[in-house]
Amino acid sequence: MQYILKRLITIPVIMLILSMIIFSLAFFLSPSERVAVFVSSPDALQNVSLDELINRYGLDEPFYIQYKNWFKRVIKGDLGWSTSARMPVATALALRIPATVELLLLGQFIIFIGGIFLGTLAAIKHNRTADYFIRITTIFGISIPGFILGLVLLIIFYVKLDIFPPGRLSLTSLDVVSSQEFTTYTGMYLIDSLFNRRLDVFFDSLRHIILPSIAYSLGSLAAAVRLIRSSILENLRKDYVNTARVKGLTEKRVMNKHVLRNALLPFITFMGMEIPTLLGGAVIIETVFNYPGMGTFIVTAARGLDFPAILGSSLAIGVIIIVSNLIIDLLYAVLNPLISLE
Amino acid sequence: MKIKKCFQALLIVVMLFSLIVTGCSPGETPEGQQDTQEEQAGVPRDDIKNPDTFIQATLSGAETLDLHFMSSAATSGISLNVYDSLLASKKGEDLEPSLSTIVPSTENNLINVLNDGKTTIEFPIREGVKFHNGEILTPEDVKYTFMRGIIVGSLSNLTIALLGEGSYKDLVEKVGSNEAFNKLDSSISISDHSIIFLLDEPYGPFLDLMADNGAHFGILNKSWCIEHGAWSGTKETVADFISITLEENSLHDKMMGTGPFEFKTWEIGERVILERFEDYWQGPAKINRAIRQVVSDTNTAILLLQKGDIDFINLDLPDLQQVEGYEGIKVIKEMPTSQLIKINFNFDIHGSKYVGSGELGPNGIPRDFFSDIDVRKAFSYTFDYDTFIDEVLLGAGIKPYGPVLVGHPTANPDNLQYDFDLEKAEKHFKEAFNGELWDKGFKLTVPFNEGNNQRQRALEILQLNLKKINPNFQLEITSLPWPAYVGEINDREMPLSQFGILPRYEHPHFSLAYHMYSRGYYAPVKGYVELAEERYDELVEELGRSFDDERVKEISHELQRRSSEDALSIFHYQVIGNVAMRDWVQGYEESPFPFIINYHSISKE
Repeated sequence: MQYILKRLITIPVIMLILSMIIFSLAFFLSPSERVAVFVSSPDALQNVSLDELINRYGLDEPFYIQYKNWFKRVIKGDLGWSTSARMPVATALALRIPATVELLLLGQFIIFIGGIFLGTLAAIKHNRTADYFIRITTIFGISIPGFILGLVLLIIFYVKLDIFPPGRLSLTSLDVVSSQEFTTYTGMYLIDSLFNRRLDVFFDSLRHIILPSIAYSLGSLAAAVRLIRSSILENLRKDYVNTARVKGLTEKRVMNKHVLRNALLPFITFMGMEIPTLLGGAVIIETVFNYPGMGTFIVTAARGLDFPAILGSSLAIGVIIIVSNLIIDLLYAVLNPLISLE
Repeated sequence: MKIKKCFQALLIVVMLFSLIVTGCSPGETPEGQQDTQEEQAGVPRDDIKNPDTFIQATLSGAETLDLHFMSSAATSGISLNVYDSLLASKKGEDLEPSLSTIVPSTENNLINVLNDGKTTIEFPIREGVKFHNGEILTPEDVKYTFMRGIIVGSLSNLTIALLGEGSYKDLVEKVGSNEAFNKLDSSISISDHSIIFLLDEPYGPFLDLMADNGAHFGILNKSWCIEHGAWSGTKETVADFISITLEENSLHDKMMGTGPFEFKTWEIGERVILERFEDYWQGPAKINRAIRQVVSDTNTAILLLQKGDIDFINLDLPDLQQVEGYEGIKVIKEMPTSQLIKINFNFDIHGSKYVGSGELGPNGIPRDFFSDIDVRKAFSYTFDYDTFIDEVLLGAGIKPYGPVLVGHPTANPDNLQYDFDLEKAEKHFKEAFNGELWDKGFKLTVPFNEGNNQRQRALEILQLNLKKINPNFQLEITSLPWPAYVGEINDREMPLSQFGILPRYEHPHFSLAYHMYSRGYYAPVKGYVELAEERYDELVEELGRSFDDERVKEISHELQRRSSEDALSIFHYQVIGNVAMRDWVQGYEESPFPFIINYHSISKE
């Protein structure tokens, strides 16, 4: 508990450092763009000169003072105006983050379950048909670029089989979620639909998110399977396994209770490290599947040199990664009590 | 051995899966089969997806919902269905009454040229027309709409016709706020149930302006606008609304009109949903709902069309091959459109995003780079028009003669034109900046709107040819989302931009004033106001006044000549449009804007 508290306390510190690094990027931009970071909308730039605004917002002040001013606005939730989204950055992020986080969670779930199951199976069936099959398949998984995989999945499962459509919801479900009867809690339709007891929306959302989640996670899943397999094989050769067997434990118990538990430790680390990769991959997947998430927002902001949006989304990604890593660390301790979080 | 077995197993699985997949495929059908489907059009069909909803996929989202702030055809398609104008127009047909019960003319005495040259044009307003909120349309709404549009800086043609200035702001600066308001107020008056415009002088294209079917000249509900924070309609409050920005505008995300569809929701960057207005004065539409859905990936949009989850898309010719002959999809291609695309030179670049060092040399360009006529001429000769039309557009475009569209009565095929000629380009580059440019070279960055392959390829052609002329001539290419692209054009940030002239009528005044008039669109946003004042304004103004067809043609030809002589833009193509839709879509009307659809006439059967 103390550890969790300590980690929670470190989050603002890390965010502070992160925000300083990100903010310093602003100094690579022209003064007019730096002004835009400090105002909630471009209106303020219309009827006053740039010099007046530079004075008003203290842009000729030292870095630390400028940073303090900007940070004060961020604390209030004012991240500036996004010229590419035509709305405040905070609003744009609030609209887009839940979709991407939902995709990320489902993707991680697929990697976790699929990785353990297939990795274990490959290790148990070491150098047998199943092992070869899984290993060859993982090579495909790692090799296929996300946008090609996405299109192929769409053609097969949407055009040909008509199971998983693109987008985020069907028209019928969109009507439900935009009605007054439906309460938005998280912006994640899978969760909100359950809270609203709308199983139809839940299954519709699931139908739409499954394909992008698979396309999103397949590369990482393939890597995870290979990692788990080699980790299990390595642990199987260790002395503690022989000891367990000598003590009369069944193979199943040896595997589940001892080997798998130890093999999961590098896997958990891997999952934490995959989060930024997955967020990067979201850009392509969201475009191909017409899935309105944060990835497309960040790309359009970056292409439009929409610096307030870039700053805001970088901070949001920072928070997601830090929180995810905290969860990973906690999982680490759960899996191996010998690791002291203190 | 085991590896061999494994490969065999894998092969069998892949083959089985392929068989299942291809077995489920609807595939392509022979033409005969398609005819059979068409013959069955009258029979009720149970295969229609979302039978009461028409879904149109668009590459870009709307930048605003306020018709007075719309600056692109992408968003006019929404206002056209939510608003009505005073008059209506259809391709190749005479103007028709709409919210005005009569089309004014000198014959019916609704247009009167007074002794002092002033002109009055009267529109009797239709009675009993309801807004979507149930309120009844009055001449007050009409007056408020046009006054508001002029005050916020929109409706420039109307502003010029009524006030003699390009914008209300200019008039205020010239005569003061009190007099400016009085002039505007008195130029639109109400008599009985009519609205009367008082023009300083005759303005030929006035009726055409009022017949844009609601795209920009639609009528707003005054009390609703005021209730939602727009200008209150009084002189006292007008100062707060003069030339306001999009972000200051409280109607940015709202709509209230008398059109066949009422605005329901706008999920920015995703979709706009419109719902049928049951009390529409011309009778309710056949479909309940119309959705403009953003699908930023063309391949995904095509898949959605193939599955019937969207009903309509407009496509470039190369993409059209993917849907031609596909079961359940009909295609209309090579429709001539009123869309002329040009590469515009910015004579006075604002901001520093795209000019690098801001000085002539390997790391940048000066902000007045394109104010040098030799640079503009050199660029005009550098563009390979034929390659672009043949290889990028695959023949689905034509090279314009100048700013007046091919096919319009006064377009001049004998106008001076630039062809691809690298020798001439080199000559002009060597003369530019007194010879400095050739030695120092230049580097500039030019954006296109993302997803627009044609604009990207046009820049790539320029990039390649510039390199051929001189390796020190560097053009870097980047992309922007559509709203940012439009925004940066209006903010004069881009050195070069590709944007069009989209005349809604054939009178040359629209194209030429838009392109060349100092108070039109391009001259201010491309920084050539002074040149326009010196060389074009007098002729453009006379063009607007003249009712003499011969004189109109003469002036039009002269302005086209001057546009080419001054190399204002690279006129690289006039669009030929292609659309694809499900075969259950009925009532699509071909127009010079194939992707702007009148949903009122659409049904799915």
